[in-house]
Amino acid sequence: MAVLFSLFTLIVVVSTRYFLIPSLLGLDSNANLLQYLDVLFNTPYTSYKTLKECIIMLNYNGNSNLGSNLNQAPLYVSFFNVIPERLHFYIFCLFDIGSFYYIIQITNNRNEKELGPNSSIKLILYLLNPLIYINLLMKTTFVIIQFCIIMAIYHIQQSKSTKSINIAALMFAVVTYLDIYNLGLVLVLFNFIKDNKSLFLASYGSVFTIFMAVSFKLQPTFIMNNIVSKILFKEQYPNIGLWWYFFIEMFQEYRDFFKFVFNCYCYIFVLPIFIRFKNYSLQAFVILFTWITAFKPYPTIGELGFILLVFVYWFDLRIIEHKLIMCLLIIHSIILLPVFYHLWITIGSGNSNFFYALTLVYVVSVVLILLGMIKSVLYWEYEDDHQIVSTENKSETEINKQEKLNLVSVQ
Amino acid sequence: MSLLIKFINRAVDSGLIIKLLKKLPFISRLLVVAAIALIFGYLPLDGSFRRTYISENALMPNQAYSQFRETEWNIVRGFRNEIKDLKVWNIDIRNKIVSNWLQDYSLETSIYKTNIISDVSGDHNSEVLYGILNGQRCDGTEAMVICAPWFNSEMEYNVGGVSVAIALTRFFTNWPIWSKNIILVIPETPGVDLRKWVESYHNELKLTGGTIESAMVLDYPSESDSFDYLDVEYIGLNGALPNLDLVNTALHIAENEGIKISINGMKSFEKDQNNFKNRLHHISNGIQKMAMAGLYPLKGHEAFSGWRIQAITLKAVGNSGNHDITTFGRVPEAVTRSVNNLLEKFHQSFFFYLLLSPKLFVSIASYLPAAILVTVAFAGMSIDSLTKTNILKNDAVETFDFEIIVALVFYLISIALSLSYSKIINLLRNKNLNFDQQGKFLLIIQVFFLFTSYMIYKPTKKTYHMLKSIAFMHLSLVLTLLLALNFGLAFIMGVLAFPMTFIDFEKENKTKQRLLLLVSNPFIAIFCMCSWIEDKWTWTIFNVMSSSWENLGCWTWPIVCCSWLTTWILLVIASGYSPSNEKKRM
Repeated sequence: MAVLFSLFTLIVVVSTRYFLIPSLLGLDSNANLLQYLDVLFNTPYTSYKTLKECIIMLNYNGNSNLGSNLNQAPLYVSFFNVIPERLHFYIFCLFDIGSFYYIIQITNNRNEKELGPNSSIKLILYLLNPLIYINLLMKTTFVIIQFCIIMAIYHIQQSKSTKSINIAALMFAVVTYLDIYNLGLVLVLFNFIKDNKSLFLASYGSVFTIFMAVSFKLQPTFIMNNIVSKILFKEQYPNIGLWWYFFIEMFQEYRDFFKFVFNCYCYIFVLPIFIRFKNYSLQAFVILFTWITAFKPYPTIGELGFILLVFVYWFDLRIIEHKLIMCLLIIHSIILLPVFYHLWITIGSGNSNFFYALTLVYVVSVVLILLGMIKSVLYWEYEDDHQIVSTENKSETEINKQEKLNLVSVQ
Repeated sequence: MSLLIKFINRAVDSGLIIKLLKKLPFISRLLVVAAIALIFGYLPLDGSFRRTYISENALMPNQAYSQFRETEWNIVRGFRNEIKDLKVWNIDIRNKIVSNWLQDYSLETSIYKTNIISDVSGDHNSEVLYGILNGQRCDGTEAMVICAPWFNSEMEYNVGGVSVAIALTRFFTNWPIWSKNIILVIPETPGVDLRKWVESYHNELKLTGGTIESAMVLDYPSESDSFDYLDVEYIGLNGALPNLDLVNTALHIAENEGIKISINGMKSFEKDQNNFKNRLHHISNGIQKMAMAGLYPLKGHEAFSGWRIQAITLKAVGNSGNHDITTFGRVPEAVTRSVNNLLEKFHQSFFFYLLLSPKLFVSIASYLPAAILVTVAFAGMSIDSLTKTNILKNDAVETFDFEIIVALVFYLISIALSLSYSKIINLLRNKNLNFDQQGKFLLIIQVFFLFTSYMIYKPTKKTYHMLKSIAFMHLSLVLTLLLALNFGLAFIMGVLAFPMTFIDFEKENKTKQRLLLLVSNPFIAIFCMCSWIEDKWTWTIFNVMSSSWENLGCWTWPIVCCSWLTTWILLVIASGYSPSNEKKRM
């Protein structure tokens, strides 16, 4: 009976999530309501539109070196070039199912520290997460990045076998290949591995080099178009990141300096987080990912969807305060961002300041989440250091009076 | 940040937050009162508004001598005599004749044919004649529109407007100064067909003259040589307003010509702008028009909103008075010359404003807080209900339990239900009911739903509070979304829906709560408001709303259906709760 029921649920989920709603909305996300959310989910480096552009240029005279707007990675483009266009969405769906499967796997072997909602609720949270779902409908690169991240984490948690390490290394090579800003996360991945660190490094390095070499063979300009232009803020469309606004205001002479500063800022906490949260590798990974997402040049809301999901999964929500403020900030910024973008770009009655102000609010909300994550990890660490068995045995007031206020002085 | 956290910690420790949370319903009521007081009490006060001014220097309104004077008088009259005779003909013949005239004056003309499907005005074919005067110093990328519909919004034959428009265009052909194209548009009515023309101008028309910077709709229905005063309408669809510079330019020019001016049909010239009551009258009329744009017959300028076009309607009212028809013509002439001077698109001055008289305004920073206060009030009510569900407490182990999932499922159901409501008018359309009966039927459904639903489902206490919380949060979010887009609609919706927050089914007196729900039902509230404004029963208002969504793209109908109605349905579902029932369950 239980099998029948789960089968039935699976059928319902698959049919609504991958067939019913997309067909109701229409598959072309530029023609339906989703076009208003375009600025939130798409950047030139992740959008489906640039992927299609790249595919057309690839087939155009066989010369794919034309133009500086071919911002997608060549192997990614070649992969989708093989598949007929009407099946593209279902390929993304497969990746979505994959991340769903590995989320289940990770949830099944969770450790006792995680006291969040139980596993069936966790699965519902994944399925009902609107940001992840719209990201899927938009067919952005991040659907694949998300799958690879989740799979890499799953495999690296079982770091005893060489096979798992190799798979994790392969997956993470894909992640860094698709978005070079994830490079810093590789360092944090070493926290997961007790021994065999050199194996991970070797297999990751070789796979990544092979990817780069093959891409370079396919399309030598990709380093310029994909990697360098991302780092040097070449495609300055408005996005939800913090930095684009500076470059529409700034004199040419100062730009190089600020490009350097902003990139440094994005990467400044890689080493500290790696060292500080050595014992909480999963949490350290998420914290660093959140930091990079908040401050990289081309972030998307799809990444926030993933962050929110794992925030609920892998952190102790009971320790984190101001959840209500966090929720309200996120919801309001996500609602108002497209409105102000619409006012500025379409109607023409607002201007860029409106939109940028809201991106500031958005980043504040992301940073609040980041603070919550760090607080949660610090609290666990404090518990472990002082051999506090469990918070559940004590009354709420006691915890408030003693441990919570001591948090600031945690060593 | 640490200072802030310290402050918050101290506030939590002292119990201030708990006290505030208990007082939330009171606070949110206070906020709504403050919002209403801000709009209707503070804004019209001396010192809270500013005098209008021309912000864009390039406009230079009325700096050049207006030439549309006695020399053109006989030409206008000649056109008027001809056009008066054309009234008996069908639109296609009228357009053919006028198109020949325009071609004689070297305009390129074309006729756009459209088929209007509307259940209010009936399905019919219509066509729009338009001609482009290529400016001699123009690169063809920008254009100004002069529009004169054959019939105005009151369905009067617009004989003066069309003849002035044609005479003015003929007059413009003699001048070498135009650096933007001038497009003359003559639709049958200023409503759907003009809107369709603007839409296809930006999509598919072969003959185009570049991006339209400004549009003026001329409305002069009388056959007399003189008119009483000039009325300027400017509030567009979906909360779009033209740049204040254009409105100011038109008003400034008209005043310089010695014409009595009025805005929004308010007869402002009779009203002293130093009087508080008159300013209040203007502001409330402005907000009401902003909220209900598209629900009344269009004046013309509404058809242009949404494409970065600054559009106004100039309407000559009356047939006595001292101003003659060429004076009316000099206003569009001077406005056209002002806009012609622009080197950039309209970007100075304000896009969000309320006029308190033709010469006084408040900008968005002064009035937006009112809408924000209303949304915060709803959010406060939502948080108030949320605290009663106990899920905010840190010791709650199971954050998501069955009762809350039930509430979430009801939320999804009510969204689906209200989405289907937007189609309900379409279903009623094919039945054997006339418009009045359809409206009455819709209202009766509401009452029926309200007084039967509680018999079917009785929520538990937690579900009840969760339902309320979700309902208010939903409305608060939609109002947040709207407040910068369409201030008038957001504000009026917020205030009219506010009686909802008073309902409290923990009390035993159910009838009072149901009456509150009845009053705050979207359809009933909108119907009552429109009937009060129009001073007659407006049963057809829902058909008008639905058809203006389909034909004009006016959001009011879907927004009311997907926000206010969703909230209302959730509250009706919650209304089955009663404390005595809860005790029985225990």
